[in-house]
Amino acid sequence: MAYGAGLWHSRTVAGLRLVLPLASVVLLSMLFLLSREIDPSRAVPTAAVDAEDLARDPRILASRLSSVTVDGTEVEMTAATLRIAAGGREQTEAEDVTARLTAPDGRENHLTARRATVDGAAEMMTLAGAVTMTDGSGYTLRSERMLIALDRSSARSPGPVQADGPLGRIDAGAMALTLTPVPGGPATHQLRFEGGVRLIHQPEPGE
Amino acid sequence: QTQVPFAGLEVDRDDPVEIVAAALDVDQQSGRAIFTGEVLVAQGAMRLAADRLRVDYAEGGEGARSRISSMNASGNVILTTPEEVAEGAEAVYDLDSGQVTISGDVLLLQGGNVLAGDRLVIDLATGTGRMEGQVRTLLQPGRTP
Repeated sequence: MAYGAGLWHSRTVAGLRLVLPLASVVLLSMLFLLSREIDPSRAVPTAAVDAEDLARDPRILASRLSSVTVDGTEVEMTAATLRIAAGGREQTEAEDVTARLTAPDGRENHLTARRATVDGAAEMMTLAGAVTMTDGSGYTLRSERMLIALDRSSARSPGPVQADGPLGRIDAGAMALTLTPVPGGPATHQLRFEGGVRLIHQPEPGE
Repeated sequence: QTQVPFAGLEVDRDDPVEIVAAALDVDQQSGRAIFTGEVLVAQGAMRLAADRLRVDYAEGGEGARSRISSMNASGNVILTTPEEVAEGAEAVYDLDSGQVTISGDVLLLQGGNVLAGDRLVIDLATGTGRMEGQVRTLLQPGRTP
């Protein structure tokens, strides 16, 4: 390279060594001088939940609880809202609850209720308020309260139960769903109505 | 074999059946229902009391409600109609054929006289009954027939 070209090269390098740092300083300062001011009080626009309300009343949304009992029944509960009950640490309350009990043989019982309280210490879940249960064999039961154990297979309605099913309309003083061994196979759920039972069966006319 | 008229019995097979008991077990797999504890079945003019009643029903067609096909009563079975009382160890009520069969030391009290035998078959539709097996009439002493 001729001598003149070398001079030109070093002169541009010296110029760039001066211009480039200056440009970066200017660019950097612009970043802070011109940025939008941030309003910390405004909630994140995309949050679907009202942050203040949630802060005031701490609860979990769309929660799911599941447990498997000692003898193999799977208990699952999903709720629209779940919060720690005022009572004690181990107590939680849920609203708009659906629950599912799956017997070892795969037979499922689906329950819905307005409210549920889960007592961790007693390992018991209480469904209350318009409790309905649909079981595998076509029965739909209605009760006001259902106690579901989380450690062993037992779901029962201590109070009156109304059921509609293949046999007809059944009214009973109480109901229990128990696990019954099946010879040679996984255990299944047995529906037991107690405390006085009345069944009305309307035969199909004209058979 | 003695033909027994059952005058007081008109039971229409389509009459609603009411069953009252202390408890009811429903086996979710087979759908079979077992009533226990002072079971009382009522249909039309007929009453059937027993310690235990097993109800089998035929699965209804798609969506159609299944219907009770037969009832097996056992233990202190007493069948009463307006005019007759029949007692035995077991009874089978086949709703399809409308036939009640009472078996096991059957006693039939009808219009003052008592008939005993091994088996009493009652046809609810025609209101007639048939006592079978060592049929004997127990005359109550001191009563003029």
